Amino acid sequence: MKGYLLPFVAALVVCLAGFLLLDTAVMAMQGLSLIFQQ
Amino acid sequence: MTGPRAFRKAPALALFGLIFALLALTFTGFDQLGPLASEQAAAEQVVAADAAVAAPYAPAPKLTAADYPTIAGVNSRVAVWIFAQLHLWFAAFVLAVPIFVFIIEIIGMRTRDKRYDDMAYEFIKVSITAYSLTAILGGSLLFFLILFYPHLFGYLSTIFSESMFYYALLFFAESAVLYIYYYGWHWLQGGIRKWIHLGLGLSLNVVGTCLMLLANSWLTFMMSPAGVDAAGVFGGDTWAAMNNFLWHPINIHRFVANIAYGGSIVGAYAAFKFLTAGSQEERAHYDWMGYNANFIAICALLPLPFAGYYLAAEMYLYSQQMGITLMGGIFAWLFIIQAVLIGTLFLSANYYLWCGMGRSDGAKRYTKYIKYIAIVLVGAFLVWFTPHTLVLTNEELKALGGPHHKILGPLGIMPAKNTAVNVMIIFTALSFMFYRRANKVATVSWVNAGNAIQVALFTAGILNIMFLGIYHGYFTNTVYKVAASIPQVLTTVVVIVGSITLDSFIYKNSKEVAPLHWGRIPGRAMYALFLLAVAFTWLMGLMGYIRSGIRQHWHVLDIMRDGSVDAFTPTLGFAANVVSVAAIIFMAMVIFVFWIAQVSSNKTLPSGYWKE
Amino acid sequence: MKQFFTVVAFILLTIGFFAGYSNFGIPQIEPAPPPKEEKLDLGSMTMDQFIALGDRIFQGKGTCTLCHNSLGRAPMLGTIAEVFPKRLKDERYKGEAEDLEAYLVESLVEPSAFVVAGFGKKGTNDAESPMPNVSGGSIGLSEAEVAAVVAYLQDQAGAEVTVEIPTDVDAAEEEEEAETREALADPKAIMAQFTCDACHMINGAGGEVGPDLSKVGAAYDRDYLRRALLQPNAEIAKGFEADMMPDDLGEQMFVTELEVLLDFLVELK
Repeated sequence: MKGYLLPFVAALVVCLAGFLLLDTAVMAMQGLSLIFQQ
Repeated sequence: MTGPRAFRKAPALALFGLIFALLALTFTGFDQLGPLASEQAAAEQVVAADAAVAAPYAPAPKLTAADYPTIAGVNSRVAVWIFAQLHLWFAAFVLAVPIFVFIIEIIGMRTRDKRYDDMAYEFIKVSITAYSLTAILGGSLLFFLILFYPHLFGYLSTIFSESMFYYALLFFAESAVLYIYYYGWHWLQGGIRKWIHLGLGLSLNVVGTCLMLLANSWLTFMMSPAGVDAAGVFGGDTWAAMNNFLWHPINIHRFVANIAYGGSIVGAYAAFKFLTAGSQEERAHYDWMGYNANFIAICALLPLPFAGYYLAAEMYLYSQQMGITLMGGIFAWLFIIQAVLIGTLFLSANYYLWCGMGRSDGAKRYTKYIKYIAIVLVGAFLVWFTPHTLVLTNEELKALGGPHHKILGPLGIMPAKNTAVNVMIIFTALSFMFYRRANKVATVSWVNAGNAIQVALFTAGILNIMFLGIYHGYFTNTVYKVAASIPQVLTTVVVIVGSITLDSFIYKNSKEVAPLHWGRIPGRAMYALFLLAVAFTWLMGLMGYIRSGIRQHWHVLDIMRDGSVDAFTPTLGFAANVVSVAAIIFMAMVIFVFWIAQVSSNKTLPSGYWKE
Repeated sequence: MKQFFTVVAFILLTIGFFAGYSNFGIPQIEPAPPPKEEKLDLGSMTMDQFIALGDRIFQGKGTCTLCHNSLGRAPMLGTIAEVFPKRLKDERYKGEAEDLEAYLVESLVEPSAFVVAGFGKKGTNDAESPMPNVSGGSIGLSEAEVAAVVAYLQDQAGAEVTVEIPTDVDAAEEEEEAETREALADPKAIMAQFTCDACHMINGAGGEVGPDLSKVGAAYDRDYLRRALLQPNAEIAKGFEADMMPDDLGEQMFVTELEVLLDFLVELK
């Protein structure tokens, strides 16, 4: 289980961060921020 | 085994490569495309000034009901509709088959596995009769257009005289190449001859694609006219008329959709041959063929929603009124039917994959996850399928009882649908991953960590898609809502590409559980392939109706009005009935095509008939 | 062979399901028929037809009924034949007409030539008319259309129709008869008909191109809102752009719909 849980959590954090970065970048390319600002 | 694995990757890569090439060509030539309205207006002014001096083209004719001949009591709209749709179905098929035959031939050449070459040959054989039928239906369609809509055809053929001329001549090239390619298959074998043969296959694809591009320009002109002024006076430049706003969006969408469609029809062929197979070998052969055909269809199905979204977005950009009629107006319910069909396609394709896992002895490890995938797919389908606001005239509002669907309005907006479709695509990719993994045992030391990373990738991807869909969909404004769909799509792409790449590392030098038992699949799985083919066919018919129908009472949008008695938009039930009748006729013709492919190798030896 | 028939049956069943769903599973809405294109052929029109044209313009494109109705925003026109001689003699009369036809034309294109007592713009002491010149701006009636309206008004007032049908065909525009629809009575239906929510948000739903209307009744009075609907460019809300809102809602809405909508908007607090 240990051999599974640690890589999972680590990868999850990395992937989530990566996706948020992707989101921010792509929204920025369209002139928008990630979080809604009126 | 290098054969099947190479096969699984290569066509997918080749397909994405082709799509990428097409997209690249599109966007590098961007300044040649869809000119700005101001540029177009300026260009038209210059052209109009020249035209006043030079060749006088007439404005678009104003027609009344008397201008439309009636022949044999036939309803002209329905006649042209059915023949156009039949022609389209066959054309899609005969354009698609050479694409994947080309790819399969390459794989055969690389792996030197004759099975691929034989399968490619069998696919082409099936399509030969279909090719004739495409031509016959095209000719009939042309006759019907001339007979029933002479003024419209006269107007269009004046503008497109050059392109129609070359279109006609290209058929010589198409026929020549196809016949040498097919009849010379077993002659052009080995060494340099095989390369020549492959070259013929490439030429066949190029010519076929050119034919499609030419024909596409005529129908997109009717939707987004260019190269003519507001009265329909032609400016003299055929290329300007061809290169109209919706040309490339339709080209891309049709190119990809054709591949998906062709794969599904061939899959149905293989499915039937499987069910009627006489021996275990035959069963194994057609199971294998069905799997490959289905793989092609699914690979092309996955990017298709995005091609369709792009097409609809371009329609909105060209004419907001057309866009709103398409999705928010009277045609909105049609997209609910479309949703039902797409849901059918996804569920069908996945079901076939799940059944196919039985070919592997190692599949038991993954069968327990299948029900969860099924639940997610059905849930996503239900979201995909709910409608939202309908902008209707007063009579239409009264019939519906209000502009919103009473119960599920919030699930009807685009962000919810984008979320649903991305989830469906990811979970279909997941089914595929399980299928691929079923027969392998990883030998790398870090397999547990690798699997953990895969789960994390999928989890993060799905969470991100949900975040983009829910937060931006319901807590921001329209601009954000639309913009958020891009990272959503990219997330899906990243998850799919990432998981495939990761799996290729995890399963490097993996052991096979046992050779795949081709043929070991329940007969009901074949019905999933039939369902795929029928649903695809019907869906194409429906989409063809929408594309043509949103022009409503115009032959050429805003330029040439439809003055016939059939200018009204029919009810959806009526349209569905015409599509259904056409689909039944098509299925009958396809069965004929399959039968012919088989009958040519039948031999009857009548004893005592011939003299000794 | 049995396989073949099973497969055929399956195919027919599937197609039948899709057809059945499309016919019975979704509402069968009869789409509106294509709009009738009406070509004006003034050369062959009878006076009755010309008056009927004037009637249609009065009810539609001219937007006359927005104000000339029993709600009291503008004078009623049925008695014009009787009252106009007095007006011509009135000291406040600034125009040059000498007969009914000329007076009517003048009232349409120079409405401030004479403002009926009590109907002038607020603060101008009945010197300025709130009515626009119908040949310009958003109404834009052509000479032939003005003539048609005058013929209609003369006929309505019971006077002799003295207008001559113009023979200059180019002066008259081709009219497209709008698809006949009945006036809606529900404000939400009206807003759906004119796609207000494409640009305006109300209580969280709608677009952002125009101002949020969720509390517009607390901020503005009925007259302001009426003007905002009929002349959207008269005042642009802070932070928004001009020329975005359609300026022809007055031509498209029925008068009753306008009032229903205003009833609804003033209650948004």
